[in-house]
Amino acid sequence: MAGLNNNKQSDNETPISETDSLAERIARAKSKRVGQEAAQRIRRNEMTGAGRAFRMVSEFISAIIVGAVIGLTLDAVFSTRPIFLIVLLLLGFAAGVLNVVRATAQINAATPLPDPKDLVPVDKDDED
Amino acid sequence: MAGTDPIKQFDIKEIFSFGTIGGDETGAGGFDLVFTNSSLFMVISVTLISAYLILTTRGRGLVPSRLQLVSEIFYEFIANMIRTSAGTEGMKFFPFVFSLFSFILVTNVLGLFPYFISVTSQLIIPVALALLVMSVVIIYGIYKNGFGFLKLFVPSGIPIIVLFIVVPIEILSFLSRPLSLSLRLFGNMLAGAIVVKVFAGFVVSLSAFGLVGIIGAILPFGMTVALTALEFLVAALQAFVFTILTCVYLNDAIHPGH
Repeated sequence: MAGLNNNKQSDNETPISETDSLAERIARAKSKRVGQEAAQRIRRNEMTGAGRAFRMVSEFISAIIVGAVIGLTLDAVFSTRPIFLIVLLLLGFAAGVLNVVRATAQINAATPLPDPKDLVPVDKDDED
Repeated sequence: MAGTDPIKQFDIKEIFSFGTIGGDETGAGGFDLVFTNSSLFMVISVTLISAYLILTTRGRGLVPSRLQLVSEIFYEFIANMIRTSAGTEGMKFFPFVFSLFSFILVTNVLGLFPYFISVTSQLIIPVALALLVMSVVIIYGIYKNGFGFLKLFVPSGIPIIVLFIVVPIEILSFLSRPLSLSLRLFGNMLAGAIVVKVFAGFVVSLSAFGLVGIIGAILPFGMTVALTALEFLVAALQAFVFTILTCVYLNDAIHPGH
């Protein structure tokens, strides 16, 4: 098992040997730090399905609530009872949809596309 | 039905009082400064976090011990989170974000222990944290960009006529952030605490019905165990979600107009 893993790793990235210069190793570590790899690793385990659903719901509802509260307050100030409430409630709906679209785009961007190599069966996989 | 009331765990009890500010002679209408059991658990959380981080990193081993490694993993985790979602400039907010994450995580997890109060299921705590985040975003955004911060509400490349509709929507969307941020944390922790308590209450109620009840009580008992495990996941997840959204919002303050 261990030998097999080592082979796979050496295919993907060159192994760090002791003769590698220090500057090169530092550069590699830095590129790893700011790279996409870390971002994906963090976000892949960001959410379970329920967590994602709860996030969407709270993004959507909170915009509507904020719209309604602002609308009611403006109506109370100018004593124009339903007008501001209606306008801001509709704007709140729009803002809620915008929030959900943004949150979804964020999650989609964080989810990596499947590697084309993984979609085609490779001989190596048959060994497992 | 003693002890099975699922709401009773959220009772705020006074431990000692600092007195009353304002109000009349009897203290009515004044503002009570009271140290409650909720405050106690906040103090315990902060003490635990500080003590752990200070004690484990005191040795500053080049080869870290196991405990020091945990602190370092937390550091790396938060630092990576900030760098990926707010850029390297966001690192000046590292102390703020790290404090938020560790406070929410530790209070969430502490709240799962029996007889401990879950601080984050008191609405005021998530609201205060969310308002703190939004204040930092607004104040830093205006300090750094001046009026350029308002570009946040004006998406680029949009005809002027449409802006009359889009700008109010963007403003409402911005205003809804603290609400969704706090409601999510509050809702998850409150719901979790209540559900666990309800199932645990079934065990007590069922076992009052003799042998059959005790055998039947195995089912809700298993549910309580499973839910407790799930709640640990939720506690960590909600701390993570709160902090990553903080980073995303801080990114708006650092680079508005995207």
